[in-house]
Amino acid sequence: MKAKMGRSLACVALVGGILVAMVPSVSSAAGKTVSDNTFNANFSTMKLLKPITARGKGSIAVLLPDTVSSARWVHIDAPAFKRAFADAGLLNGQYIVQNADGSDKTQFADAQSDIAKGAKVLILTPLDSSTGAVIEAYAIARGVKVIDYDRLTQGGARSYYVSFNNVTVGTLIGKGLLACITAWKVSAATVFVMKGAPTDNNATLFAQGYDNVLNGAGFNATSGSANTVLQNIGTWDPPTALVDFEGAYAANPNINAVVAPNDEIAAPIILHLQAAGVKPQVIAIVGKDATPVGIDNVISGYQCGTVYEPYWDEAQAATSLAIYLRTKLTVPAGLVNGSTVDPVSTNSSFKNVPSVLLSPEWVTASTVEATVIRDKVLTAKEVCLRSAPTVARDLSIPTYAADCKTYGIK
Amino acid sequence: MASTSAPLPETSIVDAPKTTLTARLSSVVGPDVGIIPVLIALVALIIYFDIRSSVFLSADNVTNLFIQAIIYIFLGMAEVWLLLLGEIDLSLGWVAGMSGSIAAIYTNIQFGWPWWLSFLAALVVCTGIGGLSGLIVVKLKLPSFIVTLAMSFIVEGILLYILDHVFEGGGAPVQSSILNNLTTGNLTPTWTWIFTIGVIALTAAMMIFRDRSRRAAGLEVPALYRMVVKLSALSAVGVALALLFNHNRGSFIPIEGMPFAVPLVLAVLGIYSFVLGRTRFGRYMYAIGGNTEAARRAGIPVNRYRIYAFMLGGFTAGIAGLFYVSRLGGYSSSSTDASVVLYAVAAAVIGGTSLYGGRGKMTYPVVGGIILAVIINGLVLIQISSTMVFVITGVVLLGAVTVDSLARKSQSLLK
Amino acid sequence: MSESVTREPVHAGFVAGSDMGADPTMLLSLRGITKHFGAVQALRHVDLDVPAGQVTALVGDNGAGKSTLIKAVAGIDGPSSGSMFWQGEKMDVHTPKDAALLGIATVYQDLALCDNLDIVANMYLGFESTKHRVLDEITMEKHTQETLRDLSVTTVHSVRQLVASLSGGQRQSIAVARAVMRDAKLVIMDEPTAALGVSQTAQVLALIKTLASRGIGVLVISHNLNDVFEVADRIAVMYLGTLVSSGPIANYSMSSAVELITTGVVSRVA
Repeated sequence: MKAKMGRSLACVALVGGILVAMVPSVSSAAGKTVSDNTFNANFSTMKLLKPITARGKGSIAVLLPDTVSSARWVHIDAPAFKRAFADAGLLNGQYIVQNADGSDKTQFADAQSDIAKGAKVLILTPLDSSTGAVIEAYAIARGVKVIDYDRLTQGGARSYYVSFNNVTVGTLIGKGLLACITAWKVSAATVFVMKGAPTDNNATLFAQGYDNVLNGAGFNATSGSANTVLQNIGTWDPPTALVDFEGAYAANPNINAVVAPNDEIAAPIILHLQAAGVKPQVIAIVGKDATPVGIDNVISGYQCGTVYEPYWDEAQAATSLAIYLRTKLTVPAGLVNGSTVDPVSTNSSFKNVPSVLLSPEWVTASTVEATVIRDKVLTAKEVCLRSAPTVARDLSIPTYAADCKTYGIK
Repeated sequence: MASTSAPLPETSIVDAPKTTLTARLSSVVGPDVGIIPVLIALVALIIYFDIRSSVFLSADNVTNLFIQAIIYIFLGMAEVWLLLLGEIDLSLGWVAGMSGSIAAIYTNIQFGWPWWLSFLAALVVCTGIGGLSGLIVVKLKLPSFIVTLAMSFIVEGILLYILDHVFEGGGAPVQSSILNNLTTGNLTPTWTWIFTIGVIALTAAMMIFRDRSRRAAGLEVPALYRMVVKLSALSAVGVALALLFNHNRGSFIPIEGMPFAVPLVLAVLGIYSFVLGRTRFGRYMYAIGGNTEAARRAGIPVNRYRIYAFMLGGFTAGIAGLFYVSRLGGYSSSSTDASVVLYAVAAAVIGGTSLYGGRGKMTYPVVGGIILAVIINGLVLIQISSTMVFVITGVVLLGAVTVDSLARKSQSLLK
Repeated sequence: MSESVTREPVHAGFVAGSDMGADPTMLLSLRGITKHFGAVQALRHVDLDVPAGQVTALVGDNGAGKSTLIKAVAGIDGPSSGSMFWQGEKMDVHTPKDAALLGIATVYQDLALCDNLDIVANMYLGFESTKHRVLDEITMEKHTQETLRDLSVTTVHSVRQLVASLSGGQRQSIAVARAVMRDAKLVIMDEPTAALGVSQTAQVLALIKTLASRGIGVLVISHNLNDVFEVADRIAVMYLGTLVSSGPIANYSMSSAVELITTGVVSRVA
């Protein structure tokens, strides 16, 4: 473990921002600067940025993509950004958080109007790379810096990329499924592999992660095989995903494991299986996002686990970068921990993107308390008191209270 | 005003006796002649998918198919109320979402309302939204396309706001077993047979009664073979479905019996068809759609009926929403589906409803909805990319409307 | 027109412009009907008698005021001044419903039929008979058949046909039959044969005669003088808002009628 450098704004210069190696995150004692691993659920390190904020000019605009691909944009990212900005000393008129509601046009129009009103930094989650690249080119031409948030704009012109290591997310999902197949003793495993929308670069990266894991374990997630059924085209839309599952399941009734790209898609699939009489810990399903529904499915034994990404850490990291970018100061080296290659870019300045890549966690029933509850993402009351699904012919479970007790969730 | 030499023979409509098969076939369905090509297309699609996928006609998949069709069927029926008057309601997709959400929210453990009360609340709200749209259309004399488009944005915004704020973590999961059972519950095999035979018997009784009373009044009675053909077709389909549904389709536990959803759809279909075909209210709907001015001169309160149509559209969309939320297990901002209302209109039109008003029956969106579900379900099974579903749906819709239009042109006679 | 001919309106029947009380033998009597729209005077002291059991033709060029007069009688747009008498009694007609209650039925040029409904439904539109809240189709169908039979409308194959499939003449007949079924005493028809071919015209004219023979008064607006001379018992000519001449049809010839229509006067042919 290398000791980290202490605070010194002037010391570290990050010119051009190319760090080749990914520095493993080192838990440090409280440096008096923000670095990639000092973010936490209390936002306590944000106030360290106040002096930096004071030296900056212009506002910061956050452009989130939609409400459909995940519940996080509305529930976690938006409030997290607002809190991070406020805690870091920005005033009300100095930041804005917007959601494009799935429309490219809206996202572009929002960016244009934000820049016109004085934004100096954009934090952008592109809906797709083509419009994202247009937005970034527009911004750069006007001297506005862009941070890609959670999704990389391929062919874009951004200064930094903040995300979870999406391939790691996928890997966790894949490994979680394999662990579950063993733990739940699923014999002759036949997996149905689903994906998110193909326009979402992240979906591709998640799939890369779990496909690799599955391929290594004797499945064939690339082209399908006797024990691997592939979804035709990925989607983030739950009703469409449900129809895809129903068809695949009708055609392959021996499917007993499912990789769902997130909890919102896993949920109706689990419901369908429950109606078919499936008991807990019989069919291995994995998801992502640690939504309330997902956690409930996890503790009741219908979902193996979910990926928990402390999104507020991501928001804080982006906030920190943005606050530096609106000054003339250089971004401290400790804030950046990696580099991502833009596969499409031909512009050497933007091909290797300095990145803050945060680590996701895999949550299973036994670790719910230690992660999601501890970090106050969900409250125990919310998780435990929601009533349990009506399992066919088993109407005796009124709530998840019993499950909560089993796993020590309070 | 030239005088002619000899009066031309009247081009009257006394038909020469027609005994060709097509003529007989068209006389069986009467004014529904446009539905024959649609039914043929449906059968053709079913056969095609059955050949391409051995699973298509399995009990499990057919059940899935019916449940998948329900949203199109109910929303299609909702749109029919409006299409009959030459109107349209583009907000019904969100209205359905609103209904499902309200039902899910109030049956949630945090509110704990009894199911019938939350369903009622959901349906009342939806009827109200429809009525509001209708009021604006009538009082301000604005086109329904625009008014309901605007309303769809408003309802969408309000709904998303509610969903994001009512419960922590967002979304409204289904916690009521009744709500759940709408799409997962089944009749027992015995009741399935009772229901099927009951429907066939009831239809037969109604047909016979009608014939008898017409005969007694000295009125002309349609040829017997028409009734026989209709009843045979109905019985064949009914028995086939009953057998299919009663076949065990479960892989973990035995699951048998007709899904609740089927009798519920048939009940709504029956009630609506009765109102449209046998009551003054329904008659006036057709009249207003056919010739608003004539209806007005006949003393029909046209504006009031127009508002009723919007209310009925909202109410039916409310029913659709209950089934929708039941199938998804809840509603959240990820469940958005703004395009579903267009599928609803497509379902109604594919079955033969006219967009200009005055023509349509509640059976049309049932057929149309099933066709849409067959296309979507079948294409997934044979692994055609889901993007092709859009293309194929569009082609089918275009084909159905064209064929229907041609069929009607040939049926209408020279003036 | 030669200079030596004197011009005089031809009077027949009664003195135009008199303000006497109505003739009680007449079904409908109009006295001094005047109508203006702002500065425009559409009707000028029109006196008209329409007897029951006869066909009265109301003729005149475009803009002569025929439609305006009809609208006043039908309760759509009342007169600015003047009085109307129904069977000798003063009548107060403000809405179409009032006119209908009196027994005045108007068949407009557009016929007001619903193409998407069958003949029975159209005949009963707004007046359906029901049994326990359900439409009593059997009664309505029988009655419709009887009505059509009575009126000798025989070319229609089935009363269950959609109106859209009927010829123009048949549609006209249905519209008239509908009026008759409502026990109309006076049937006003606006250009009934305007859009019809020769044989369909004959059909409609026959129907009009049938109505008259049943004691119903018929007031027909028409451009077509051939039809008028074929079917009418009386003729009333309007010219620029005034009723310039009326009387039994025998008193008129085609040419005198044309002259009245186009000039308002007729030259006395020596």
